[in-house]
Amino acid sequence: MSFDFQKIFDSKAAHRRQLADLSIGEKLTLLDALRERAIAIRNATPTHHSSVLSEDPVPYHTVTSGTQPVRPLDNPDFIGAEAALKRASAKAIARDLAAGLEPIVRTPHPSWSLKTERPVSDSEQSQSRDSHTS
Amino acid sequence: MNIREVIQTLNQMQSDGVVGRCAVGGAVAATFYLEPFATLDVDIFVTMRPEPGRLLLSLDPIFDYLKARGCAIEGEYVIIGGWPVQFLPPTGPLVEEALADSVEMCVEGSTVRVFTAEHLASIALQTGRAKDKSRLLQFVESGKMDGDVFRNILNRHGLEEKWERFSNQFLSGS
Repeated sequence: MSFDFQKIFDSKAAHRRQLADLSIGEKLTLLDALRERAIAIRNATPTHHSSVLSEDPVPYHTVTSGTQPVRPLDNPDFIGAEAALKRASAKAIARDLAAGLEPIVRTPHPSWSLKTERPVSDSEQSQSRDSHTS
Repeated sequence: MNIREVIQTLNQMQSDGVVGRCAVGGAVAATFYLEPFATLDVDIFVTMRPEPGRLLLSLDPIFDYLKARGCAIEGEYVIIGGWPVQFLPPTGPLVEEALADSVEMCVEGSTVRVFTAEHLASIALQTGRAKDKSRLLQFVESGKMDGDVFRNILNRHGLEEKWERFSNQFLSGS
C-alpha cells in the first residue's frame, strides 16, 4: 500500500480518463450496471435501525381526557368558525383570570351568530311590514 | 434494465410525432462526455406544443402514448426499459438554447440528441448544487469543452459572476 497521495490522485485521474474514453455503448452498459448496483445497495439498507436515534411521535392528549387521544374531527366543537371563536374566547378569559383580571363577558347577541341564514327576499320583507302595520 | 430501450422509444416517439425536438440532459448526457455516473433516472428535455385551446403545456400526450405501449407511470416518471424517465420542458433560456443546440450522437446504429458538453457545464453552474459543482469540475478537468463556446454561453446567460466565484473556489491555485 502506498501513501503517496499524488500517485493515488494520478492513478485515479488516469482511470477516470480511461472510463471517459470508452465507447458510448460501453458507457451505457456501465450506466445500467451502476444503476442496478445503486438500487441493490438502497434495497439492502434497512430503513430503520434500533441503534439509530430517532424520535417516535407520541399521541396528543388533553389534560382532561387522560389517556384518550384527541380526535378533533369526531368533535363538532373542534370544527368550524364558531368553535374557533369559542376556543379563542375561553383562552382570553383564562388569560385574564390568570392575570388577576376580571374578564368582561357579554352574552352574545343572536345576530352575532355565524350560522348562514337564508337571505330574506323583498316580497317577504314587504309581507312582514304589512303584517306589522295591519 | 437497458437504457438503449429509452433511446429507441424516444426515436419512435419522434417519428410518431408525439414530441418535437428532444434531447438527453443530466447525468446520462454527461456520461456521453465523461466517465459513467451512478444515476437513478434519465432526464429528457422536450419541446412541447400547447394543445389546441389550452394555454398550459401538458405531458399527457406523452404519458398516454407510453401507457398505451405498456410503460408504467410512477409519479412524474415513466418507466422505460427499467429506467425511470422524466420528460421535462425547457425551464429557462439556457435549457431552451441547450435543447436547440443539442447534437446528434450515434449509439450502436441509433441516433440520439444530447446536450453539448458546454451547455451541460453551464447548466451545472447555473443549478449550483454540490453534485452540479462536482460535475462542472469534471467537465473542466476532462478537457472536453471548447473554452470559447463555454465563455460565450456564460456571457449570453449572465453566468460570468457565478463562474468567477466557482473558479476562485475550486480552480484557483490548480
